[in-house]
Amino acid sequence: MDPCAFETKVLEAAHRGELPVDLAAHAASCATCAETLLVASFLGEETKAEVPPPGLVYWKAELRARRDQAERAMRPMRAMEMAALILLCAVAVGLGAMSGSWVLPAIGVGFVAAVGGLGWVVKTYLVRG
Amino acid sequence: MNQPRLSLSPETFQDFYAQTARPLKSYLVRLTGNAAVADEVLQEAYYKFLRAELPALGERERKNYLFRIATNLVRDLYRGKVEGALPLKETVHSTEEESRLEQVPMKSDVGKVLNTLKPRERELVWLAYVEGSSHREIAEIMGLREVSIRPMLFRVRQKLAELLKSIGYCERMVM
Repeated sequence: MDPCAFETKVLEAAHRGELPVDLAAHAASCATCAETLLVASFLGEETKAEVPPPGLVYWKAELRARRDQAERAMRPMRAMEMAALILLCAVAVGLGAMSGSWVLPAIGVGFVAAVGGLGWVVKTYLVRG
Repeated sequence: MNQPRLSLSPETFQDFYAQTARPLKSYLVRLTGNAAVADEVLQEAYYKFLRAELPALGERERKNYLFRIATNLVRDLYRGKVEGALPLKETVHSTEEESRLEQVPMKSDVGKVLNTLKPRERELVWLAYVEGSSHREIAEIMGLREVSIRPMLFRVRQKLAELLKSIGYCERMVM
């Protein structure tokens, strides 16, 4: 490996598209600078690219940020729902075991599940739109 | 619910975007080899940038930070980490592709030549020779140590120069 003190200058000149005579003369005798010049001028040929309008990118970012924030806000509620479901199942099993019959706990669980399901439908389709 | 905070105001973003979007898109097109994927990654990179809690950064640091996000996103694509996206093809080292490359005329396509390099080598040459990033900046963007940049760059430059010579490319500089 053979670093050259002129390499940065040669690269800058290649970016500008103007190579001063002294640098050109140096590059002709320096393998490092000649390679730098060759690679930089080749890669610099194609740097134009179409990009989406900034307003669109910003608007999408805002929209997504809002959606992410809403999802984060819903997380504790989802955890509560899950906890309530587990508790309900535990209570049902407990009641069933204590009473020796599964009829009453099953009716209770069915009722609570129906109310919970209705609440979920309202929250999902009516409140959040 | 409070409005989510973005790290730049729309006006500041517009200026920042005007300075960075085209270079970033070119970089991403060269890394991914696909303009549509590059567009997706570009928008994702700006989103992550806007959502990041940034300390006060200068223009150059901001740009480097954005390029770092984009580089990591492309690496995730290569590793197949992105949900719903197919992993990108790393290199085209097949002999068939190489022989096709040899037939490319003088004004050869930059993309075809870059595709013969490994993704990391593509990142390196583009940042160094198109973006004009310093070794320290390249190290930051690529998540490498600064001391390892010089030897890596030397090897890639030599490889690329040999390839360009082999396909008959000559530098065209305005004197």
